[in-house]
Amino acid sequence: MVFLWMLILIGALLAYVVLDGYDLGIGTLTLLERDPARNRSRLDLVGNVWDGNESWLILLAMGLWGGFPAAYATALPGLYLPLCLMLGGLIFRGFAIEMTLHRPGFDPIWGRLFGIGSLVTAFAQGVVFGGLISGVSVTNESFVGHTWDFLGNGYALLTGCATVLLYTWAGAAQLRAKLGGDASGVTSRRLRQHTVAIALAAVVSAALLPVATSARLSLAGVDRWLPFGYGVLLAASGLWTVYRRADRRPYQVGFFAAAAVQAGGMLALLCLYFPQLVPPSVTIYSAAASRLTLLFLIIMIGLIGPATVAYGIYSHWVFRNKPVATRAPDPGEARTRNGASPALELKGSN
Amino acid sequence: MASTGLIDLSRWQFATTAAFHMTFPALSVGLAIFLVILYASYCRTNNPLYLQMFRFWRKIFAVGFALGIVAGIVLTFELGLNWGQYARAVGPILGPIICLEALTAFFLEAGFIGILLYGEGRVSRKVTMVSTCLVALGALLSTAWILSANSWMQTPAGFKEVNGQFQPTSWYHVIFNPAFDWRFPHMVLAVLISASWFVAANGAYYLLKHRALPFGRKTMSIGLLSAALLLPVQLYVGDSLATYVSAVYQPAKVTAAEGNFTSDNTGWNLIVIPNQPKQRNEFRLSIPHAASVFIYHNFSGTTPAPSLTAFPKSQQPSVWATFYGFRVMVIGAWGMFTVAFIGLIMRMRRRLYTERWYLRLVLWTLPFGVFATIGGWVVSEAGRQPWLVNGQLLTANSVSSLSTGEVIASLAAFWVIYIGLFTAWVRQVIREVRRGPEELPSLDETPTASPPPQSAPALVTAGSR
Ligand code: HDD
Ligand code: HEM
Ligand code: HEM
Repeated sequence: MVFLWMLILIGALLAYVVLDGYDLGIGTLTLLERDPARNRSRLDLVGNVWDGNESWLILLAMGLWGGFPAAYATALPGLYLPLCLMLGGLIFRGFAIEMTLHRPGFDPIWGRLFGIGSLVTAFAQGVVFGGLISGVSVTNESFVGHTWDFLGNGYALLTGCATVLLYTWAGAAQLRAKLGGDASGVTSRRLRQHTVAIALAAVVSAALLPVATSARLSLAGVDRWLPFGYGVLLAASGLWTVYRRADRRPYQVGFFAAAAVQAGGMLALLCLYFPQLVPPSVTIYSAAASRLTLLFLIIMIGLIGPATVAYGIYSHWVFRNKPVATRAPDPGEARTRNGASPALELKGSN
Repeated sequence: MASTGLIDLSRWQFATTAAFHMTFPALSVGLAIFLVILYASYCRTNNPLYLQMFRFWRKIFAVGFALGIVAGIVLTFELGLNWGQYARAVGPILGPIICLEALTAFFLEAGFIGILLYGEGRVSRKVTMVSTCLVALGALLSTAWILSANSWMQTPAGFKEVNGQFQPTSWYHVIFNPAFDWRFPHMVLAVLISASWFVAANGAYYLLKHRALPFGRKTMSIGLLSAALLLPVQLYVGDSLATYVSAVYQPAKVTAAEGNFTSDNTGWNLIVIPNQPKQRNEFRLSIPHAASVFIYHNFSGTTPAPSLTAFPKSQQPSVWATFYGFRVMVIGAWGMFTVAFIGLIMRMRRRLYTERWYLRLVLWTLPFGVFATIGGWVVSEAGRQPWLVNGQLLTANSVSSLSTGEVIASLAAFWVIYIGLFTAWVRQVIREVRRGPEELPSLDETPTASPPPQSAPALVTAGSR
């Protein structure tokens, strides 16, 4: 049961990284783009999905709290500063999206805050991730380390940057898929360079991991190295697919290729780390809540989860081919600021 | 044990971020239901006025909703960030409850709010209607789960303690713990009243400014009418909550809320200046005999209110916080009740929409509902001290071992961010209100609509006095 709940949480983590990853990436990419019309259509792509995507983060956090309380109670204090940074980023981003979405065009201030918030969130998540895999000092199920421990000789900064790269890459692929090459402002050449950069970052982080971490890593036994190998292959094939097909237009594979890279990486790490949850000392077995708690969680998620996924898909499907604001500008707007919304018209062209 | 400085900072951080979060659900839960009513009325009558109101309130709703979401995410993380020992102890009980909140409520809201906000013209009216209902349902479910979690901390039930960790023995008793039965209806009424009052005050603004008159009238009358209907119920529910729950399970809380250190006062205190270390009030101003009536329903006015000295000092919650939280809530309740009641009389005399002093009164009391709601939370949370889980886990034993510097930094950052965002939110709402509702939607914009009973221009001219 403990193992099953861990798998479910990994599923939630994957869903979060795949979904919010591309939308944080798109947000970050607005910082590199000067054309307000293009930025507006990026914002519109994110506009109606961001809160649903973030719900996965809450599910993940609360599932971790309920199922593995000791992990929640030690990892969070251990990673206090980067997590607060992430929360700060999320706050700005969420509010800035709503503020810009209800005004025509791309508001210069809120629009930039949207970009900065996305960048900060992505970076902070990478730092959290790096801090976690390099180990947290725990004694007696409580955190006993220091404020800056999470930096771990700077390894966390490396994973922070790598995460920004990964998210923006997923975002760029999604942009090309939804808007096409011109409107998205993402050229195939840049996408290729981006893919190479990620491959490099992955190799460097992987090479440094054994030095940076206090966790016990192991690949002994076929049940570890075989899935590890699959994970690496899956990630590599995701990268290769995007590299090879970077110039084709209906680019739905981009989304799945990004998901493959993220899933493959996660699988590989899982094999290395299992059963450590907050390495080195908290494992899924030592942190697990009582049987009745896990049973309740698993039954509930079994009952409600499918419906949740179903209407999640439905709501994406409603907006499947047009970003949100292609609706007619509402009369109120047209009345008070006549013709002030050229950006809105621009991207009906899809 | 952690230093008092760290504990106090963490408490300030949680209290202020939670109060900030609470401001938005207080409005958006009620507004979500209001949107359901408006859209349903529109679908039934085809009157474009309802569509106009729906579109206007939808905009106000959207921005507050977004702030509520991001501020809520902060709270869930803080439970582990700052309250690590608490998180470890109660995780097996409260984790699954909030997990269920995410599963049943947050995903539902997030899934359908996109359609509610941007779906018009892309989906049929029926789908918009269903989505609006589902968003409101999600908001209510969210309220139910979070109240269940918080009530468990007030009246824990259905658990056993193993190695300093609480483990469930009966999920039924955990979820439907004793306080939940009264606190859930109290909270639902609280958010409905807060939103109705906010809506009514906005209606009053348009009537005062002589703009969008039909819109203003309808808005104010729906808002005032629902407040007038709900407030008496809330007075009854609040009284029952105090009598059957708080007084039974947390007597120190109600006693602190009454603010007496001696047991000779039959009056209901309006103002006290407590000196808790010395266990006395430096000053008190009270309505004679009223405590006897309010607390014990003894109309002879002779029963004195209980005294806090019955509890050891270490078991007493802060009188400052609990007492004034309670005054804000109760005075807010009676204030709104009075204004709504005057409104009913004016309505019967057909002067409701024109009497300027009355419209101003309604406009000025705009935030009363939200104030009462936050005041209520201060009573229930501050009044629970020194316990975090009543009778089981002390707040002082719940914090993470962080450095004070970290918490000061995060607290300062949250305050700066929240003050900035709150200002931006207020300005945005004012902007939208100043700009006013869009013109009455004409019919060809709503393809499936059949002609309305009256034509739009007729409605507008009928508006001027
Ligand atoms: C899931 C549980 C939960 C829920 C629904 C709430 N709280 Fe709470 N509250 C806590 C869990 C909690 C806590 C984690 O248990 C705290 C932190 C420190 C403490 O003493 O209790 C707390 C403290 C706390 C304090 C400080 C009390 C003191 O230290 O003197 C205040 C004023 C509030 N909260 C206010 C609120 C508001 C306005 C809420 C509405 C959104 C709210 N709480 C909901
Ligand atoms: C400590 C207490 C609380 C925590 C930890 C908490 C947690 C959260 C979280 C994480 C969200 C974002 C959900 C999303 O993505 O949609 C949220 C939103 C929400 N919360 Fe809370 N919440 C708390 C208190 C309350 C209370 C007391 C209510 C009661 C009315 C409430 C009602 C809502 C509602 C209706 C939303 C939807 C968004 C909105 O209306 O702004 N919350 N909350
Ligand atoms: C005179 C009428 C009222 C009485 C006697 C009353 C009584 C109470 C009491 C005793 C509590 C503390 C419950 C506990 O934690 O043990 C409480 C909490 C609360 N009250 Fe009231 N109340 C009244 C009116 C209102 C109104 C009008 C509102 C808002 C519009 C409101 C909002 C709240 C909220 C949000 C809480 C905290 C949540 C909870 O504990 O359920 N109350 N009330």
